[in-house]
Amino acid sequence: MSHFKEFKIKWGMVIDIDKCTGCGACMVGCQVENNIAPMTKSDPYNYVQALTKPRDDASNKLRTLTWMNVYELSNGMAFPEHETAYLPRPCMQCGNPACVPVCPVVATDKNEEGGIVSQIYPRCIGCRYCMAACPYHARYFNWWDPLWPEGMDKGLSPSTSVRPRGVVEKCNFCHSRYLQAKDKARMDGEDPMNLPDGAYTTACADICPTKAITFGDLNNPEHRVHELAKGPHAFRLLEKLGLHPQVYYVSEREWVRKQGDNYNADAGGHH
Amino acid sequence: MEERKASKRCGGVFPFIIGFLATCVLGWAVIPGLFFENEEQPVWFSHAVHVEGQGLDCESCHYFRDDGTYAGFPTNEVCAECHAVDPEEAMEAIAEEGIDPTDYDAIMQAELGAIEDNLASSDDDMLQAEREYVVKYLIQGKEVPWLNYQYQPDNVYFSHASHMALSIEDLAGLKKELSDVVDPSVFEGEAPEQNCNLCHLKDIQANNVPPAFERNILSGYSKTTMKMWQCERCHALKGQPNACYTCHK
Amino acid sequence: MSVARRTFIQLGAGATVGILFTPTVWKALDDVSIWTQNWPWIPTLKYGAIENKPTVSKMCESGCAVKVRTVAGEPFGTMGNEDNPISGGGICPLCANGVQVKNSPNRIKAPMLNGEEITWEKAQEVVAEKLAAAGSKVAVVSGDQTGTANEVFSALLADKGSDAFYVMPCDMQAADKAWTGLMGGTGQIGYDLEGADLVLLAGADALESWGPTVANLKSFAANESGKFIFAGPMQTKTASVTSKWVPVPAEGMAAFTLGIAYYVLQAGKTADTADFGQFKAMVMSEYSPAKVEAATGVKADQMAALAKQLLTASNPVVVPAGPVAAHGAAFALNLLLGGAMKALPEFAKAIPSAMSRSEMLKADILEGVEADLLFVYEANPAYALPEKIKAGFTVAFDMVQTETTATANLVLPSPHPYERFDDLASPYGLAAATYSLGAPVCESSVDASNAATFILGLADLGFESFEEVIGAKTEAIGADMDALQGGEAYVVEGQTPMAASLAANVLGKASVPVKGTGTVGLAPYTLLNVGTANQATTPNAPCTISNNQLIGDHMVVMMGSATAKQLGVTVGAKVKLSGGKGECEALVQIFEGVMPGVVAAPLGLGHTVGDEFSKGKGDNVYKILTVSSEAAAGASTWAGSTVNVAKI
Repeated sequence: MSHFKEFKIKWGMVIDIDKCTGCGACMVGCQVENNIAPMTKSDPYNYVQALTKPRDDASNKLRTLTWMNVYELSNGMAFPEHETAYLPRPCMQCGNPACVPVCPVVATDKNEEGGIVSQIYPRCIGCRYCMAACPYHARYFNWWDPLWPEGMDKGLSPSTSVRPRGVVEKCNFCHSRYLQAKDKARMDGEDPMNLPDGAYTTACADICPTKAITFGDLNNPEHRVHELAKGPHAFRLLEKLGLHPQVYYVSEREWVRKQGDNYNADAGGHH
Repeated sequence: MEERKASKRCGGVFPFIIGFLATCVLGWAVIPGLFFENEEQPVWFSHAVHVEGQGLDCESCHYFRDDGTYAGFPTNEVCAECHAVDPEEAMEAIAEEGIDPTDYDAIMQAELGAIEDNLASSDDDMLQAEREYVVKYLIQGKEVPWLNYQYQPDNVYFSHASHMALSIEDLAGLKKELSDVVDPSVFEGEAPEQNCNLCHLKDIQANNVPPAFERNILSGYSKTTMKMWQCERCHALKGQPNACYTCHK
Repeated sequence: MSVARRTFIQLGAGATVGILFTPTVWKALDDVSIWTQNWPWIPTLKYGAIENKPTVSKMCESGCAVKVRTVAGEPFGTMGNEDNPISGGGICPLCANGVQVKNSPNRIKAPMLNGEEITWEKAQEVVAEKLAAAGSKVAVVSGDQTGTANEVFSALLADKGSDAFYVMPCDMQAADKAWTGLMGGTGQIGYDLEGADLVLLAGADALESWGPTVANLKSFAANESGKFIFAGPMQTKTASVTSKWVPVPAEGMAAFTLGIAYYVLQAGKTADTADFGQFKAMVMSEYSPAKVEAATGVKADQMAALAKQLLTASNPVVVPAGPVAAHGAAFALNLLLGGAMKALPEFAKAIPSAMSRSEMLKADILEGVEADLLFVYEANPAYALPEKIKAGFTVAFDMVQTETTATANLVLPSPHPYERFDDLASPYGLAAATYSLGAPVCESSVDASNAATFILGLADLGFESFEEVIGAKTEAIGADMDALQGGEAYVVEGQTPMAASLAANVLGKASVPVKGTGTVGLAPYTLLNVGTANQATTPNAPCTISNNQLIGDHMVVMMGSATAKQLGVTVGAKVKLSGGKGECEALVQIFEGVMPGVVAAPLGLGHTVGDEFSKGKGDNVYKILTVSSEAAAGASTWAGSTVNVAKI
């Protein structure tokens, strides 16, 4: 039984891997926009530190909260044929999400016009079943309470609530910006359900110095992503799983495209 | 036979019923009130003085910004347009008098010209309230921590812009269904042009002493904080989406 | 009826059942569940008007134009400035975290004299005293490549009869030495990366950390049909998006460039200088393909192919990096090709007695600095140039605590770029002369004072505050202050570069590759998210640092499998690299994007002073860089550093 949900508006991204240098600005910008605290190892409020494990710092990549994560790809060849590429990976906001049906408390759902998979923090019980289900590893768990170094939490982004420990979180295409863009449209007397290209962009797309990330409504022919996603070099990750991810990647390099789907010669992967 | 006699001795079912009724009464009438403690607003602000008295209209302080967000509580910048006490001048005067800038009582008692000359109120009580505002907040560069009767936690995104077009007159037709969602008295009398009364204190513009803020001692929220089911009910009645992300962030 | 125990029990039972028919229990449960969602140690958000205020940021050496996002006046994030050509709407990972650095507890909170807090008045007294005693033995080390603050510092030096103005080692300096020093050219070299149809990045990591990185990235993205080629000892992040990576050792870059020039000369290209004949003769005889191949390992047909591409392009440009000779060779090649290299006119000075940019770039810090009184402005020489700087009394201006402030005598907190007036003029690399400035976005959260304003109080330079200086600069340039404060840039087109000479003699000698004596070559590289010489990694950046740079607390060095075999190490092996006057510990990673016989190591790690995100992570590769002298060119360079690698 397919849980494929179609909406009139389909927010998605087209990421040009040939323009991504892996600088990491999108990752840092995402953390700032979404109030992800820097990973602080020492906890000055832990009066029983001697009895407890220290917190993790950012070198433990199993504990970091990188809603947007940049992966390094390699063509696996030896010198001098070696090539690298960088692939930014937000949440795919799948059309048929693997994470939604497994949530025991319906803390995550794909029920809003626009197709962004929601994640409601107070409702989440932290069972992490959704994390196990997501093949893109796009979901992250708050192993620790967010702890900003002293004074750093006075400048927080008003867009995203701060999550306590024990809660799963993930990229939500900067959803608050969508709500803000709709409000602006209402203010200007325009249709909030028909936003022009660029009225609503994500923090990562905004910040990227090469504009490798293009964001928009995949269903709207007036948005750039509409054409880009249909391009000859466009592909999605793990398409054969049938999750209908809404993030497309573009690369003129075939070796990069092949890595999108665990390409095996006769494993029936994406052709 | 002995059992009946024994139970008859303690009154039969009667104590049970008494206990039941007593707690019912207490539980409905008394205990819910105990959940709340009253808190006063940090400064006595009278809408009547400003609206009726000074002729300000709502939009002077409560307005939609160009980007679609709503300016709810006015900032010091807005208040200072009329309460024009120059913070620098005031602080200088305080330093000259050798008063500790955080000793509010001493500053108010000193009756400094930089402050007193710029107060606009007419009677003594109002003057004192204005003085408190100026000394404790305006010249200190601190925004007044107004208590929001319609407080919503950070994970809620409320958009005033999307509720702009609602009219009380039109909603009156759903009076019965909305009886738990909004205060039924909102629909009585002539429907005002703006729909603020739906969720905010009715006819606040004529209010002289703001009611106490009733804070729930367990959750910390206001008594009048609109709960999720109330928003959902009205959304459902008006055919608006009830998707999680419609209201959450 | 008698009241017995059973009565009470019945009463109790009735009460218990009764309470369930009231809202009490259910409301209490609901309220408690909300209470569990609102722990008091989880910060709550502040709301208000959202404004994006334009300003300039000096977090990287070039500087950038950004917009600071504020809510109710409080900054919370940074975004690009679409109206400004330096940003074009994007920013780099350093600026993206600018607000967090501003709010860091690692900020210097007040002036400190030998570790003790003092007042600004006392600091002024102390410095004035030292200044009077030092006479002309005053020096300045500036980490700001583009700001008018440098004019203030150099004017102070001029007032005291000193010309000891130093910049941290940078390509801007090498380019100027080559262009104005050796080749008699005027203006600052720029490269039109957006308009060129073929760009050969000869060592310049332009899309990661060289020059005005964000502007470079924007030009690269906007240049849809242009082809970019990266030449260097390792596949940096720049090479991940260029069409080709040409492996060239760092010390061989000049020779490689002249090797390409050989073919270009052979094709009949000329340059309009007096010594062209001499230059051609020099290249044809000493930098023939065979000779260059022997010296650098780059195959002749590689150079021939690149030359062919450059010749068929209509607007090519070669962008150099590293030693002065490499810059000279690239400029010569660009003059022969007549492509997208530009010469930018210098903006008028605000302070007449200040040094010109060329003059500021003259002194070579790698030769060492000795002074009685040293001012260090937002630079970290104690970290990047250990043991090079000797001073009787050091005054360090900086935002956050660094190795330099930890060892300085007097530490003066400067406001964060978002808290102060600042400007930037023509970051090196831009194709047009560009001037931008910024006003403070918010008040400083610490007792900081603008460094340039402090200096203005020490000598009579005709200005009371840095704000005035910037006003004067704007007027001198002829720009509109309001437009500039609104985030726009003042732009003057670059001109066709003209040189007096191709420095045939010098280039010929200086381009010979010179390598150290260690077993393997060292290719140090800079990643902005790891940190630059002046700015350590920012609070939210550590999670972006990959296992190719850092694992746990250990630095990672990369080498090809052939090199690893040669050294007898495998993936994850712990090794010690010794070079220069120091040694570093690291773990080995096999990465086929490094030339054989070369080890690539990340710069920017190994801080011993700083916040918890940068301190104690990895090791400091600046310790093991070797300085070799480009005697012919009158400069020193780090290119050609080698190390010995030993297993631990």
